[in-house]
Amino acid sequence: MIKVENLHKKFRHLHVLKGITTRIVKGEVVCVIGPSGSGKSTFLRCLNLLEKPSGGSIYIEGIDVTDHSLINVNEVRAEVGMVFQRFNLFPHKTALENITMAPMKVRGLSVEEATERAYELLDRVGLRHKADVYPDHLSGGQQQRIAIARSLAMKPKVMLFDEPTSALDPEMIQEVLDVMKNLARDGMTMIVVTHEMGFAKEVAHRVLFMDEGEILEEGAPEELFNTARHDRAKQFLSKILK
Amino acid sequence: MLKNKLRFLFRIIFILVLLLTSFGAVQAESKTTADLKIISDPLGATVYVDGNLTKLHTPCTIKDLSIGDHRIELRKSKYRNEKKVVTVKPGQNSEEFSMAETSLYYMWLSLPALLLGALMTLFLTCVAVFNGIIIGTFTGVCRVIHNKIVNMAAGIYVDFIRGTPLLVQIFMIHFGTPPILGILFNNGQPIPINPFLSALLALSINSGAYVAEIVRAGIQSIDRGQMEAARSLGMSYKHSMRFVILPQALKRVIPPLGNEFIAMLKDSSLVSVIGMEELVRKAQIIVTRSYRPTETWLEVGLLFLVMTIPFTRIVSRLERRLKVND
Repeated sequence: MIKVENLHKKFRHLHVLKGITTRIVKGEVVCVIGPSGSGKSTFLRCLNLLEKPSGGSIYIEGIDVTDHSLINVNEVRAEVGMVFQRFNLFPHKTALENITMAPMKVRGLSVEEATERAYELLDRVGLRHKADVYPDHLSGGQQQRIAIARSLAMKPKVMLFDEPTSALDPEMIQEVLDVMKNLARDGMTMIVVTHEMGFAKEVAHRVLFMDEGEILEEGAPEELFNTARHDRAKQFLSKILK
Repeated sequence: MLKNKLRFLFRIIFILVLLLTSFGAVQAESKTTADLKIISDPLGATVYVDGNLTKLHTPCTIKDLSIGDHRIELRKSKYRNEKKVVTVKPGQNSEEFSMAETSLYYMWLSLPALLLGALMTLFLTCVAVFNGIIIGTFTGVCRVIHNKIVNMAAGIYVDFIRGTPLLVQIFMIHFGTPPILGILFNNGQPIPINPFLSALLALSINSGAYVAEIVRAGIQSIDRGQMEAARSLGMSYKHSMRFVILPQALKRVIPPLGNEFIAMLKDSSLVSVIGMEELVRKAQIIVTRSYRPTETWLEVGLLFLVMTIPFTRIVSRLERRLKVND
């Protein structure tokens, strides 16, 4: 479903991604792990074109989204949901309005349709009772669940999660992970940058270990965690799997 | 003997009487009175002599005043009077009084004219800042969108206005453009612009540049994540700007806009130099007539203060409230 070929990204002199090549099939849950600065987030942001790749191609359902003559960036993004580390909810809108805004503006849904869809999603993340609350008055975990609902409202084909639990207090991490697990169980294609190894073990079909802009290791979670070949991967895993 | 004694007594009495009468005559001679003519500016004041109302109205002549010092007081109204000790000499006397108003009374009298000027100042400021907000929002957005040419054009406008004195901008519009207009539309004959129009134009254009900077800062103060979140949902740049960034930015922009209003209220005084009759110009006119600069300018200062203080209060209250919300 997603095919990445030799993806490069440079920020001026900084070579962040040095030729990423991978394939993600429909319904697959892929966790991306690696030390900070290894280019995980940049890789994710390239997938929905928040960063413009400097080289290589990304095919989403067979269409090269790096070819700007072929595609409309906004249409690509509408199909690729993204959840951020810092939630990035719109503070001037209620939880419900956060969810209904994009479907109405981009998909052209009516208020009724959008609201109905929003309530379904609020039920799914267990926050129907918070529909009319502003983000300021929600806990971090609740905000992140609303953010997930907001992305889902666009009915994306794939969901990207950029360290969705890193900015959360420990007691709120589980509620977000539970929502993500349910999502995975429902067959959503997901790419998750995370440090939650428990989540990776339980849910992921495949784990990518990235370091210095390259995918060093790739494989099923148990296999990768136990039999990493590279020293850097071993070091990182030994620290994080304690 | 007795006869002699009596005669002697009579003589003494006679001499005494003579002496007394002659002394009286001398006395009468020195007791002559004089007239005092009193002129005053303004005329029509009531005259008090040595504390007694003499019910005269200037100009007048007080007859039969004894020679010597007299305390003369003139009263025109409650707020205008003058006291003087006048030395009356034999012959014709005249004294001129010029009664100044008390400072407060003068300020009270000049208040209506100055208030009219203050109204004009307020009006100019309101219209200028209103236009400034329209120009500035547009220009501010032009400064942040991804288009080099538009960025540059907006940048040049803002830098030019912020880098030159408002006074020069006023002169450029009021004196600089009529010849150009003349060449374009009037066969080279300059078309003069009326001061009101040039004042409004100059202040609006000036305010626009400052508001543009405020709006730009407001937009850039919004977390980048907001734009990314909106874009990641597939919303276009235009939609993201309109529905996500601008509503948040405009809220943050309100307090600095209040400050801009206050600044403009004060700076608008510069249009007095092209003869726009706002508060300062009105004051200048009044001073040339009354020769009382101290009170007049103090009053102008107070009027500005009365206009700015409420806005300063409102702005600081807004700032506090927005801080709580952030």
